[in-house]
Amino acid sequence: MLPAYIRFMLEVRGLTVSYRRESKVLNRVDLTVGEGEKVAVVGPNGSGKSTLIRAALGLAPIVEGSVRVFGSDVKLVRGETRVSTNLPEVYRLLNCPAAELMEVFAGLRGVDTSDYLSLVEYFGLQEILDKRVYEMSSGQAKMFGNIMALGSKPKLILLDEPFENVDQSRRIKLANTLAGFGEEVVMVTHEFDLLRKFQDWKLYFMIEGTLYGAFSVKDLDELYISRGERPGSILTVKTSFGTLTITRGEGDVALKNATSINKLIEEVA
Amino acid sequence: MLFTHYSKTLLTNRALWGWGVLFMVFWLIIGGFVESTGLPKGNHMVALSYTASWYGLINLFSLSSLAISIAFSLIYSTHSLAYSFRYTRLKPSSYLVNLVASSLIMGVILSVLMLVSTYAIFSYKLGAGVAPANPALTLPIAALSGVFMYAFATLLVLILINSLGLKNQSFVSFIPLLLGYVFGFLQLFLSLPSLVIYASPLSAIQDLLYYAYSGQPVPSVLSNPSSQTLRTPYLTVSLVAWTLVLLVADSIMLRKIKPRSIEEARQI
Repeated sequence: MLPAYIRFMLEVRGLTVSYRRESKVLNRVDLTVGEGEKVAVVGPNGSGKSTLIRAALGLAPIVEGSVRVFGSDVKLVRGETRVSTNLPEVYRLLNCPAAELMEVFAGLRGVDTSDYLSLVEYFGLQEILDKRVYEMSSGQAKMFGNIMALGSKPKLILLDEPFENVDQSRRIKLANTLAGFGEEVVMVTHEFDLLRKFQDWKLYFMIEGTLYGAFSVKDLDELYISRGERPGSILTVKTSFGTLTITRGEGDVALKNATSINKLIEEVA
Repeated sequence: MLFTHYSKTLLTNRALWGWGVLFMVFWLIIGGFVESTGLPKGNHMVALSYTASWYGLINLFSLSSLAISIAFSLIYSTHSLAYSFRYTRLKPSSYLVNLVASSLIMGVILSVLMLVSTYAIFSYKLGAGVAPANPALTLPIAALSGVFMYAFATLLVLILINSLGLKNQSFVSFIPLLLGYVFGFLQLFLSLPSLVIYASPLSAIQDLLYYAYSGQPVPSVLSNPSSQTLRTPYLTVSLVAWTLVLLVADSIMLRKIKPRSIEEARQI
């Protein structure tokens, strides 16, 4: 239980992120994650989803706005072991095999190495233990990040495309693990097909650096996306490739039929 | 855990053994067999002073190689460090302490190897009289020098990461070695003002190692034992002060480390 004065595990207000002055990767994004909430952010490649995760961790240049993690400004956060992520680059502290990295991070996070190793066994990934991160396939590196994030026993977990390049059997295992995860989650993905596993999660769309929502994953079966403006729309998004409208009950393309938002947008636009 | 890992990595780093030891032994052979041809024969003090000056110089270069090897590993860990300081129990100061301890151990090992190599090579050519006068004293000096060189190289790398950008990496990586060569050779042959020598930590390293090896007061021109002598306490204070200042600066800059992509280091 958190102190009463902390309303949100993660509080993002008016967040603007820019790597170069002339272009904004995130544009005035607002997002809050309260106790027990789980959030999925879907968007096409290059929409700023990963940058949102990096900014939430304090690893991206924040130009405007603020990010608060458990009530503290992310720029000032130190020693906060309740947060974890699957970004593989954050685990490249040393040039050593995964098994050794797990030992080091177990010590730094205050967990037991067996917390990571039991996940390695569950996902059948013993072959990564002797490999350095750069020696892993992209799917293995992604799963290594997922294991490091989950095994750290966090209160808030920030996941960047956790299913990307992961083989089918492990995707299902991972989806089941995340669905049963008892704490707060923010997951960004461009894949729709596994989202139905997370019926009680909030759903946001991120397009060209702007966040739209909140919906519920439960709504996916009723939502449609159409090109141009439509009467009765619940969301109208103006993009560089035209106006998109999200409607309930009817429209050009049903979200339930889409496997990935990339394909969905290609189909509509 | 970090200390064990870093020490193991350093001890098994082939490039470090190649550049920090074998390449330096090559220079010692040049100093012992080629450069020594002009030395007056039968003058024990000149031979000892000459050997001690080479020991100080080569040790300085060897420690520079070590410092660069360790400090530059930082540019591969910027995301990880920025994350770890926020979301693990790792503190910038404890990270520094772990690395300093590893560099200290490796610095002492390199220094002992240079001491043995210097004596083996120079005594073969100049006779047994060039044995180190105070070999035990070389150890704390080498340890302090290892810490200084690490703190110095780390500061340069952190300036690179936090301000200049990784594109300047290749230039910055040469600075410790370049300054080592400049100050090392300057004091070997030229009469520098005492204030410059006392203010230069690189000169202090070379001079203190000279002092430990020869057991003689340090001449302001190392190749000329009869030149004005320097005060070793001043040299020690200078080196300790520089080391402390740099470690504090490292710790402050490490707190603000910016996540950088290693791709930024590409020149073309």
